[in-house]
Amino acid sequence: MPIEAYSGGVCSVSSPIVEIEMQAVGGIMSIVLLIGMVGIINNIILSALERKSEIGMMKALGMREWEIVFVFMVEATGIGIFGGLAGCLLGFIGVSWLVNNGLNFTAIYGDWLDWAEYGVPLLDTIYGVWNYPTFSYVFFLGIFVAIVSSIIPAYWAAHKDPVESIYRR
Amino acid sequence: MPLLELKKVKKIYQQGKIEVPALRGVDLTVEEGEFTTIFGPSGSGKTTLLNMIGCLDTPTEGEINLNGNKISDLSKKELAMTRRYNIGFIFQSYNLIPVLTAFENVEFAVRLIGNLSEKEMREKVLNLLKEVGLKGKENRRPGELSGGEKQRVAIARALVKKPKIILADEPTANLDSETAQDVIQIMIKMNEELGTTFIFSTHDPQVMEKARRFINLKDGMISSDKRGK
Repeated sequence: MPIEAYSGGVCSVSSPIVEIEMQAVGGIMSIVLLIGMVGIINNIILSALERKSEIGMMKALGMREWEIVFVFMVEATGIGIFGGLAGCLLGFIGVSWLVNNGLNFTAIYGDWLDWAEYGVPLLDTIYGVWNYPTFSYVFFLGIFVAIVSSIIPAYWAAHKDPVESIYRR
Repeated sequence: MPLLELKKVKKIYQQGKIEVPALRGVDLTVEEGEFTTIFGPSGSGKTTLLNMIGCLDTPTEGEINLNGNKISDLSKKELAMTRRYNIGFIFQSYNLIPVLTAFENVEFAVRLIGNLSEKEMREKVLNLLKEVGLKGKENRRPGELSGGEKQRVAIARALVKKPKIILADEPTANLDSETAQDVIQIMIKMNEELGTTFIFSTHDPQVMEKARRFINLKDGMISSDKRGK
């Protein structure tokens, strides 16, 4: 049996399970970041298409391409900050609930299934713990991802022909 | 030396395998302070010509000299700098930034020049908005302004950096005749007071007659070039 001990929602498990868990968390995190990146790229491209004539006007006013890229990157940073704050707020609510109430697996699955028999230590109630560094890590990572994701679509927008942009051809 | 000089300027657009000539060899000289209109039927090349003069597009053949600089020899960065310091644009559809107020739209252009203090910039923008008749409407966004008011903001934005030349592509096309007259009067006033050179295209005979030089463009060539009073 791989489970060494479990009691009252706190379990100590052998290291292979922890490693698998860490890999799973890393995998989920990567997928979440990828979805976020696609969302931001999509947002910047749509914004650039909607504001085509505005970009053309920026060029007519004499803005250089890198200055227009900078405008879009600042906008993406704003999206990153607001998204990060919203994510942290939702995370705070979720973790608070897990810390105070926990997730009662017995209540969810009832007594008819003994997960321990299958080597899965899901019994009783699992409680969350506060991990404040993760909040700041995810917040800044979100901003970083937003900025990085905005570079290519912003360059694409800034590189457009000004005549085409102004007259929306 | 003239402010603007075009020598045998040609522009050919490639549409698939077909070559579409928009300009077929335009020779033109414009002196500083002129108030010139370019008129002609749709497709005669008015917008293409203004885009060439405004460094937004490059000619297929020929030479354009603006303020002593040969535009066709300039790099992308130099073209952007020429537009920033020497050229003001007024478009038919105003092209204001919708999230910025009238004040901020004008300030945006002068901020790019970056040679004024915050106080000087504010005073200059407010004075210019007053000059074009927008006193009290500085904090309105384009969505809260009428067509004529939006075009006044666009005029102020073009003028604020004191460019050598202002290019206006059908600036009154989206306006009713009374507002169109108001807008053209502001342009005349600015031309007389500041000495800024204006070149504008139009279809409207009432707007056209206010110019002092009349260039008729037909099939991508200048068919007549007359001077008024």
